[in-house]
Amino acid sequence: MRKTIATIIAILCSTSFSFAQSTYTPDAEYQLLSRTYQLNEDGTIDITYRKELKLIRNRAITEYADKGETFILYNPETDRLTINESYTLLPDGRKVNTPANAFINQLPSGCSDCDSYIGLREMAIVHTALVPECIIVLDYTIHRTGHPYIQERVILAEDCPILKNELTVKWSSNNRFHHSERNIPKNAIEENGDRYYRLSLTETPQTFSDTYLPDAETLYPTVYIANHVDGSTMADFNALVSEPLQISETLHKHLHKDKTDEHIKAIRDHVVDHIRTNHLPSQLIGFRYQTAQSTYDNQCGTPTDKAILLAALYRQCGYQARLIPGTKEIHTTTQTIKILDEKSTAIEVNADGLTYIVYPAKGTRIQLLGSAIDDAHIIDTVQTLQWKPIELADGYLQIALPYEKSRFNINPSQLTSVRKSPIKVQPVDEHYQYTIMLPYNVKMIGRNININKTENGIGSVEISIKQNGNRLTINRHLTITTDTITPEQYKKFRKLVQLWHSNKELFFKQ
Amino acid sequence: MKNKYFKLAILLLTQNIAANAQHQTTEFDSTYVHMEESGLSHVYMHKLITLNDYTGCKNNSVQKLDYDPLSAYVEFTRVVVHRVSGQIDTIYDARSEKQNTPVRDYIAPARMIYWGASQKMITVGPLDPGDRLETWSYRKGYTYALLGDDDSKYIPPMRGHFYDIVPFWSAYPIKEKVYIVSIPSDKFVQYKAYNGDIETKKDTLQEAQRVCYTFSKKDIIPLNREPRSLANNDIQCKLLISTSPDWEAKSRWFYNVNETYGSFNSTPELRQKVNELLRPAQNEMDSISILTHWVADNMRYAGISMGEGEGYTLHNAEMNLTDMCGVCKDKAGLLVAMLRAAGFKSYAAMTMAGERIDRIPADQFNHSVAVVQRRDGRFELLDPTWVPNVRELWSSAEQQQGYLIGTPDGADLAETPISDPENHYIRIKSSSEIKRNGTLICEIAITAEGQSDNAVRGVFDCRMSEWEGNLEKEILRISPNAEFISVTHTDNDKYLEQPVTITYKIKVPNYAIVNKNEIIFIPFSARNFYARAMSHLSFDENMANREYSFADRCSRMVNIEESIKLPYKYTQLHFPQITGVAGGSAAFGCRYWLNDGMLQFGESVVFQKRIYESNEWPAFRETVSKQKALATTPVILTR
Repeated sequence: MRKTIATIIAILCSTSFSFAQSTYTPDAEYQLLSRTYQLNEDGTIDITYRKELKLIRNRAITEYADKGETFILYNPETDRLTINESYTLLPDGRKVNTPANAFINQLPSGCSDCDSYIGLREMAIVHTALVPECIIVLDYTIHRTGHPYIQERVILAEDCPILKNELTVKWSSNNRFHHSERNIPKNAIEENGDRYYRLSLTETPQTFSDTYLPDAETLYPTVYIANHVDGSTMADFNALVSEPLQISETLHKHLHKDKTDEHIKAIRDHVVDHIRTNHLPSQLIGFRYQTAQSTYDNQCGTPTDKAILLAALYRQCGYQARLIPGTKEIHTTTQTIKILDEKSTAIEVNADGLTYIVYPAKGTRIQLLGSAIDDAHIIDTVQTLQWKPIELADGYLQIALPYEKSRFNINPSQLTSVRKSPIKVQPVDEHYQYTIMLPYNVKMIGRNININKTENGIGSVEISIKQNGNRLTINRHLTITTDTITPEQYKKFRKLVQLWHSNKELFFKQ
Repeated sequence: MKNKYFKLAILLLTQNIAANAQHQTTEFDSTYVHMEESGLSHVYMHKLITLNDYTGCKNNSVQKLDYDPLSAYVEFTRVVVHRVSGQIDTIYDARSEKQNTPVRDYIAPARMIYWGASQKMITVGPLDPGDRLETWSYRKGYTYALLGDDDSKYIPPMRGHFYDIVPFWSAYPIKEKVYIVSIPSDKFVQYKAYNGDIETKKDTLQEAQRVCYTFSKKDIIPLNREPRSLANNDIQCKLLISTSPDWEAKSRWFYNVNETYGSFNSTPELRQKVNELLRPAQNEMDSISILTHWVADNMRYAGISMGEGEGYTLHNAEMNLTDMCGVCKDKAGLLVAMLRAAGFKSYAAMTMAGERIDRIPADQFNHSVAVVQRRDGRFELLDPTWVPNVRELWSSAEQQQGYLIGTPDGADLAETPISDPENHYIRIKSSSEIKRNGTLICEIAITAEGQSDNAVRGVFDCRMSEWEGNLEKEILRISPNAEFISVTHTDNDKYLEQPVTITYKIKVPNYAIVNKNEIIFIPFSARNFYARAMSHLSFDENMANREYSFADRCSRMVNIEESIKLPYKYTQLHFPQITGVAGGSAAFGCRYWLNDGMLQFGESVVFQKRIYESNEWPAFRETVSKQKALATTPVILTR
């Protein structure tokens, strides 16, 4: 008993020694990060951003692109950008204004090679006079006249801590405003009648940098803001599809396939692979998408432009097709609203009495409506392996088990002993059985292996390796029963992963 | 240029060349250059491309011309599509009065260098395989900037001179490429074809008092590049042509242009800063080191334009100290100014990172550095752009690289020397014990210097909160079930004070197979511990031969020693023979031996330089191959 206690104390001491220095100096720190949306009666919107960023460690000055520079996307046709303040406050209190040559009004890289979006601009601001402990102050307003919509998912976290984090929305009686929060305490929200919403957080920690993270909104303070209830109605997508489309005869022939499903796939793949993609927020382009013809003529567009072109191409090829705008349901305190979610936009194609659902993204399956989706993630492999050992020395031999095309993609070397963030995993049920016939005089070194570990709510690992005469039988069985590993489950999960990756190399003596 | 971006660019270019070869074919690529007495050049380009597939069509459905509006002018003259159907569509004709497809003119997307580099773009629209795209375009001017009211802004800063670097290689097949340059007959001209033959013709036009040089080559096939081979301009056919007589003239020009501008002029603030920084300096080397590292670590790499002269003029000290940001030339400029303020003789220099500078004095530069004259008279190179967080004054990742110092009397082209592998050592020392249940208890320390020090300290190249995790992953990469007992390391923020040392104490259950007769395991230190600092391990040793020269990151020496206490007394050691390598450019050796019940392990790897000839590949390859084999081959001991 005394020995056990001594061991426990020793372990505790050693652990605290190695990882005791858990007080980290961040590279930088936002003293203030604020966004204000003013929804005006005339349908215009004023969006004001202010950041006061303190650079602390040297790498904040030399390593980050986003600390020493700010990039503001805007549409000069509909937006008026005003820089209200831009300066660097030095530790001794001196203020150095950002010089005129540090404001560069350039094409956003997302608009490259696309005539349709060549008018958009990115104001690059190079912050000057950066020294440790300086504070970068930038305040700007975009007066937006192109459309009356706001629809944003705002993640209120950055890669360094934020001391004061504010989001304010002000609106007039003509407007409606909807909001929904995740990971935000109720007392952080201040509402004043139906004209004013203010979210105020203090000391927001920096974001995680771990691998296998779930979606950001499950991890960080997140707020959805919108002034409409159905994002799918913000543009008349199918009217854009309906406009007549002319394509070259050569392309028409190129896409032709005798089988309908192959034809549908060929058309999808052409749009995905051979029309350039411009990743631009719909907010920026005012939810004004191109017609199918314009996307074809310019050979480029946003993912939604490409979806419109794809639907029009299906129609042009004689199919009935319609675009189904992707939406995501957001629950506010009073109702459920639909936010436009372009990632899930799909095309419904009717052909030969069947309905196909096509996603305009590379590698996605073309799905028959009503057919079962293979989401069981079950693998059951039985294999007889050839005896092909690596000869070591003096009759010692080695084999390695074959590479398994597992859907379980967690690399154990990424799982450190301490983790504070959850892990996104793929539920699986995988069973591999290998048999190897050994030459008569070959014996496995070490005992037979029998591992059987089950962790409730996580999954299980079973491994058995047995030599019976000249037959070597290897059974490996993995189940993962959840899609998220919580920080509380982490240690048990990590152990399962370590076990799953163990005993893959075996030794023999001749 | 930051080296990580440079490496990325090389990688992308390499991949691009192999991937794009089949998508399009250039039927002809013609360039005619008319050089004026002042050096102003008018360039007329005419090209015909056949599209072979829809990827080729996608890649050509817009056409772009890059230019710097301060020093160059570009325009599309005509763009025509010859459809596979036989139809001819004129997309754009500058002479036509009809409505043309609009030409867009904008500041190109940029990161890190914000000088307003621009593009003109025209949309060709949908193309089909078999279509042919014919383009005519015109350019006048130069890469550098001199402002003026008329064409004078397009005259090169080295007035009266012309140079060009013309690649006779391509990512796509070219059936015929022709480059013609017409030069006033009183100009001295020198040219040379490198890495291949180019047909050359010289015509003297007596009446016009001009000489016309024609260079042509047929059937240019894209090279199937070998991984890690040198820049395309170093291994593929190119033409260099220049009216500059020698590198000395270029050196004098570079010196004069910056002295005239006042790039290195001192200011009271500069002198105050230098005095403050040099207070703890004990000797000449201290002063040079303090100033170089201060500029390297405190001046952010972000280029903003000074307007007139941007591109070749080094921003002055006042501007640099106020902005505290700039590109390589500005960092070099500030360092020269500081060194001069401290009483040193110092100059700026030009170099070409990642590519060879050949003898023809064309402007083969993409990087600027500083030099200081030591008391003994010799010049020492300093690179404040490539040494942030590096314990060197000149980055050895730039060894075997050409450079030119700007001096009043003119200097010749020189090459940076090879850096001794000992300057970039990695030493791994481990003391371990294997218990009877197979558990490994291990104390392992890595220490490194020079470029290797920087590579090892890559584990700290993240937010401080991620350090522990990164340190642990170096162990988990070898043994995912390793348990940490402790880790200590030198202070990364004080990297100049000593070479990095990181010491781990770990425990790994089930590390070895132990039974009553034998023990089987691989020493932990042999398993490519801190492979992040051994870039040679990422070479593909399965390549039997190489046709072209290749490059690693830096010269390097790796020494590993491990002493292992065993659970029983063993008498016999079973290990496949891994013989040593003793090549002139790379060497490998290893050994195991039993000593007083302990297993001793030693390994040594040496790579002598950064750039290797193709005939050095066998030794390099074998060394890499042996180190990898050692990392995966278990040692077996029997009682």
